[in-house]
Amino acid sequence: MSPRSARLVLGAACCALVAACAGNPAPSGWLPGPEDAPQDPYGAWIVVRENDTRETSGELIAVHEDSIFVLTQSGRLAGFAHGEIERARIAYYDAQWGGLVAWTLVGSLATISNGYFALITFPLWLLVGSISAADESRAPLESVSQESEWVEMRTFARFPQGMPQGLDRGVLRPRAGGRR
Amino acid sequence: MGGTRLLPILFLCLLALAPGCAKRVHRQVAAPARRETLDGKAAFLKAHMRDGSLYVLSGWLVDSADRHVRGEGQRYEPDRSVAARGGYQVPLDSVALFETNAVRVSGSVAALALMTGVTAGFTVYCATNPKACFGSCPTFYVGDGERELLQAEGFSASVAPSLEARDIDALYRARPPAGRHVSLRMVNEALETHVVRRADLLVAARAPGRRVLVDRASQFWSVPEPVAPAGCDAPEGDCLDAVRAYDGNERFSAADSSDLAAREVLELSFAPVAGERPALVLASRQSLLSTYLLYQAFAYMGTAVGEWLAAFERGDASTKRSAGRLVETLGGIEILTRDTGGTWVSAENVLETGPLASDVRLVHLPPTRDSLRVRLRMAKGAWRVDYVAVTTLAERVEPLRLAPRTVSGPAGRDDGARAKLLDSAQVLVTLPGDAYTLTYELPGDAPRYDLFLESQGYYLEWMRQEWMAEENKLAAMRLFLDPAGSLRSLAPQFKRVEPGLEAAFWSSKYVTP
Repeated sequence: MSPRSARLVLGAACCALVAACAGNPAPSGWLPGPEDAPQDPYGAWIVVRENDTRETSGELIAVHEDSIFVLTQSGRLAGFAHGEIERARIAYYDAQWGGLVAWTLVGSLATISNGYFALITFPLWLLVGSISAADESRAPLESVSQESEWVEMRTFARFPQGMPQGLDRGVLRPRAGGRR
Repeated sequence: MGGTRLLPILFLCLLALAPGCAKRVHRQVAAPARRETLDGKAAFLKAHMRDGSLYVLSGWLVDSADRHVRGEGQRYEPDRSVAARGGYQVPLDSVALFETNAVRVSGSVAALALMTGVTAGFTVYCATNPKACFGSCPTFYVGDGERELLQAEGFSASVAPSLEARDIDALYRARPPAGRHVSLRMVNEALETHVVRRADLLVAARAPGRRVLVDRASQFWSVPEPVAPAGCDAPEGDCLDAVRAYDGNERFSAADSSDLAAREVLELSFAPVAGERPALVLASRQSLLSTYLLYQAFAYMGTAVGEWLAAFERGDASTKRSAGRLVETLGGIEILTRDTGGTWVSAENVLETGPLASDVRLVHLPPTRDSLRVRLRMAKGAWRVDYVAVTTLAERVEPLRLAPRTVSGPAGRDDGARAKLLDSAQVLVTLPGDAYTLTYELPGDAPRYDLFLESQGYYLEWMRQEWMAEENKLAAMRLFLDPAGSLRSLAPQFKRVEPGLEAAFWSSKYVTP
C-alpha cells in the first residue's frame, strides 16, 4: 500500500469512527479521565440551555429542589430555577473513547491486503468498533429535560449535599486549565 | 509504508492499545446513615463535609463502632484548594455525604472481541448454507387479535452507521385489545448488533368506514376502505386469490435461471374508482433474493476491511452511487398505469427493504375515468406481494406521536432503556436474543386508531466465519461496478439454493443458548 493510500484509509476510517461518537461538551482537558475521576474534587461540566435559548456552561456546583448553581470559567456563580431551564447536558468524566477508536482502527488496518478501494464492506472491527466507541463516548453524559430529573443530577455536583450553609460563595474558584 | 513492514507495527499497536483502555465510572453516593450501601471495593472514598470541604481517602474504612471514617489522602477546602495531606480520622457526624466511584472495564470492549470470526454453524441450517442464515434489523411483534404477529422490521436498509434512517411501518394488521395501551415487542433475532435511536408509535384516529395509510413522502391520508382487484394476471396465470386480501397468502415467483434482474409483470384490473385522486394500496416484502445478494457481497469482501467501509462512511458520492447501482438494477416494484394514449407509464417505484414483514404503502395514481388497470413490474423472484387494492385520497391527517410509556426487558421494567429511546442523543444497543416490550398509552380506545411504527437506527451484520472462505475482491468489485453482469453470473448459483432458502432462513433465527 502506498503512503498516500495508507493515509487515505487512516483518515477515512477515523472519520467514520469519530462521526459515530457523541461530543463531550466540556473543554478539552477540563474533565478527568476514568482513572482519575474517583479522586477528582470538582463537579461535572454542565451546559445549561435556558428557555430563551441562552446557554451557560461551567462546573455544576449544587442542585437544590428548585434550582441549580453553575460556576463559569470566569468565576461567576450563576443560579437557575429549574423552570428556567429548557435542557441541560452534563459530562462527569472524559471517556477517552479515542483510545477505543485507535484500537479498532489498528485492528481493522491489520487486515488490509493490497488496497482495493471505494466499495462497500462491513468489516467486523470497524463496524463494531464504531458502536463501541459511540457507546463509550456517551457513557459519561447525562441530560436533563424535565424538572423531575434534577434530583438524580445532585450526584455530579461539587457539593452533592447541596450548597453548604454559611459558605461564602465568593471563595468558589473554577478549575484551572481546559482548552476550548 | 509497505504492507510487509506495516503489519508487525500494527500488531504491536494492537497489543499496546489493549482492550482495557475503555473504562467506565459508576458513581454512587450515600448518606452516613446508609454507609452500609457503599461500594467497599472502590479504591477511593470521598467524604463531603457539611462545611463544603472534601476528604478523598484511599485505604479507607468506616468504623461504625467509634463513628469515624479512616484513610490516607487529601483534604480540600470548599474552593478545592488542597488544605493538607496525610492520614485522617473523620467523624461521621461531620460528614454530609459519602461518594464512591467504581472504575470498570466497559462491556463494549467485550463486544469487539465477540464479533471476531463468529460462526454461523450453531444450527444445521446455517452450517449447510451460511447465506441462508436468518438476518434482520429489529423485528416488531404486535397482536392481531388472536396471536402475536411479526408486523414490522425497522430501518431494514440501514446496514451501516452512515445509513442510519427513520422508517415508518404501517401496523396494518394490528388489533390491540380494548383499552388505551398498545404493546410492541422489539426483538434482535439474528447475529447482529442493533442500534435503536427511536421507536415511536404514530397513531391516527380512524373515521368510520375509512383507514389511514402512509405514502412514500411519509404523508398520512384518510382513505375509504380499499377495494380489491377484479382480476389479476401473472405469467403463471390467475393471481387474484393471492392478492385480494392481506392475509399472508402471497403471490411470488421463482428467480430467472439466467438473469436475477429479469423482469415479470402482473396486471390487475379494478372497477372504476370514484374520486379524483385514486391511489393503490400495496402490501409487499422482498424475497430472500436480496438477503442472499447482501450476504454474498459480504462473502466476496471477506476479510477486506478499512478501505471499503472508510470509503463508504466518509460519504464519497461516487462510492454511494456505485453501491446504489446494485439495488437499482435488482429494482423495486414499479407501478405503471396507462396514459390517455394507451402507453404504460411509471407512477412510482416501490422499494421497501426487508424480507420479513410486508409493508403497506399508498401509491398515488393519475386520475382516470375508466376502469383502472395497473401493472406491477418487478424482478422475477425478488418480491412477495400479499395485497393490492385501490382507494382514493380523501384528506391528509396528522398522526399523534407517542414515545414508549414503559419499556421492559428480560429483567423486568427497564427505565434506562426507555430513557435511551426518549433521548435522541442516546441509542439502545441490542445484541442477539435481546427482546424489549414497548408499551404506549393512546389518547383513547386503541381499536379506534390506525397504528404506525416510526423507528430510527441502524444495524450491523456479524461477519460469519463461513463467509470469509469466499473472499474474492474482483467479484466484490464486479458486484458494484457491473451489477447487471453479476446478477447474470450469480443466477445459476442462486437457483441451486432457492428451493430451500425460505425454510433454512426461518429455521435459523437466533435462540438464546
